[in-house]
Amino acid sequence: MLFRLVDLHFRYRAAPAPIFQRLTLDLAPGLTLVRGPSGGGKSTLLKLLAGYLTPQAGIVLTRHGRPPDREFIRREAGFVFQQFNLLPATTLRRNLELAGLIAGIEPAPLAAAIAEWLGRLRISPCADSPVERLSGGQVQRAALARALAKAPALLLLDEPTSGLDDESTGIIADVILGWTAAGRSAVVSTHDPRFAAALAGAAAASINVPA
Amino acid sequence: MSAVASITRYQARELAIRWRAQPASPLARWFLTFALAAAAGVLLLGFAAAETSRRVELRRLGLDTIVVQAPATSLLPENAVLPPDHWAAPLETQGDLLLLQQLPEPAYTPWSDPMPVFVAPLRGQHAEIDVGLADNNFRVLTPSATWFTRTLPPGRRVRLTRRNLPFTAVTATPTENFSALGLDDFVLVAPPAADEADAKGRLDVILFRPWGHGLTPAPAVRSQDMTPSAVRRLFAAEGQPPPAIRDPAPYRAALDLFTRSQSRWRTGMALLLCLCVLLAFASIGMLEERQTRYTQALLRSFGVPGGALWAVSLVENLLLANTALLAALLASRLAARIVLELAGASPGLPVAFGDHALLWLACAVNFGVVLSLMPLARALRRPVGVVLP
Repeated sequence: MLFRLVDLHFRYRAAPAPIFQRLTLDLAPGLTLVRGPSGGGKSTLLKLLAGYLTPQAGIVLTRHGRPPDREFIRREAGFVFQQFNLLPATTLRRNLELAGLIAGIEPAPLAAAIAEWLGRLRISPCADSPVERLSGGQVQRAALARALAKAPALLLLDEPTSGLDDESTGIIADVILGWTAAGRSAVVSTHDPRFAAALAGAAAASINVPA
Repeated sequence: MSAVASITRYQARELAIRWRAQPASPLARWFLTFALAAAAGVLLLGFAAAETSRRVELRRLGLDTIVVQAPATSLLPENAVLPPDHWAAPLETQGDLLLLQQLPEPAYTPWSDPMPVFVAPLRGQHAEIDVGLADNNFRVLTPSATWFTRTLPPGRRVRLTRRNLPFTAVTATPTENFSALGLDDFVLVAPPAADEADAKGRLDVILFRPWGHGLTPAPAVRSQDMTPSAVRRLFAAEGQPPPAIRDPAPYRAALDLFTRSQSRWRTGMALLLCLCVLLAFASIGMLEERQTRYTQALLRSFGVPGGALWAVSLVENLLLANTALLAALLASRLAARIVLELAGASPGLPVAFGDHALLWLACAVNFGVVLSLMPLARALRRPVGVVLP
């Protein structure tokens, strides 16, 4: 069991209706696809899994049997936000370094991991550029590289290919497939049919929201 | 580089960029603190100067000294300030005590003006009369007489007369020790200079300045009450006629009242300063929080504790506030000196903060800064998922 959601109830403060009501769900290790229309709750589900949101009722349990806490997100999970959210006023490399150091990775292996992921995602040339100068596609790949560089056990990816061209989508799909093939887990939300199709064969489960 | 160093470095860099992009924010905080603390500092310095000048004035006029006059029952011994069995001897541990004996016959100036003559006890193996002149590097050597006067320069040898007999006295400027006598001219002689004819009709004159009401601090424990009523009871118990007492209690009470009033003003001003700093920093802090909300949420999404981010803001604000406070303290000292000079205060009047005034200022500013960050602390408790899209 990767996650267990029990009787989950969540509603944004100003929202007229809850996003989830009495949602009970088990997520198995491996690749899980979260699918559904915009506004359906895909991002909310991922944020609940990461502990970035707290449900009003019910509970989210990680594989350790406890709710996701700071230590979980620091060391075990790599999260890619829908808006990618790179740290401003610094370079791409510093973004990756900072996330890795906070996760407790030693500088030498971290540097190697950063070099590897920047290369595999084909953004090495802009490693030392300020993040403000990156293109949209580079930012998306940079956000994924930042999540991967800290070598988490689990990836939580929120629409990682929205707006990307076919080539970039293919690169990201290959990375995720390689990642899960190595025995690690990923929960990926998407409504991109190209991306979903690329991953469908490897997915252990697919969840549709609203559930 | 460790995680803490890395985060610190990033935060410092981000702070520098934010300050460069929007210098009004740090400058506003700095100058507001500077202006508020400088104003408070000038007022506190003024309070302290007013209090000190009152104490100095009381001392100069001898209004901090109790004067007891009673018929002498024995002659002054030569080598002790007070006979150990004298009723006033225990007071030596509670203040500055001086026992004089006024002789019945006055001395006369060269212009035939009469002036009282006092006998002062000898002290020390060098037979010097310690009349508290050590501060002026001037000591009266026995058996010379000293004429304390303001009409002649000190150090002159002058011929005076007493009972139609001439004697030589050295002039000296009256010191504060004798200001309570209220005399512009008087003669001080050592016991051997007072002969048998002066044995009768002497008057004991006790000058007692309790510590804690002048410029010296009060002793931790007061072993004996030196109130006029206590002295009168003492004399009555020994069957002696009541002494003449000049009690400076009303002046001391007025000074105490003034001091308490100053203390209340200090407290009120510190609270006001704290409130102003709190409002200024909180207002700017809320704007800053809007600007840094995204970055802080992102760092929290990596697992950085909100407390650490709050601490960074605290350091930033404390740095601004305390550098401004230090500058304000220096400026207020300068400003207070100018204001006091313009107001005609004595140039020798020390421009110094009173008891704990600096502590009050520092506490007010720093407490205000800490309180101003409470909205940020609340904002940092907002779920990351609500802040970040």
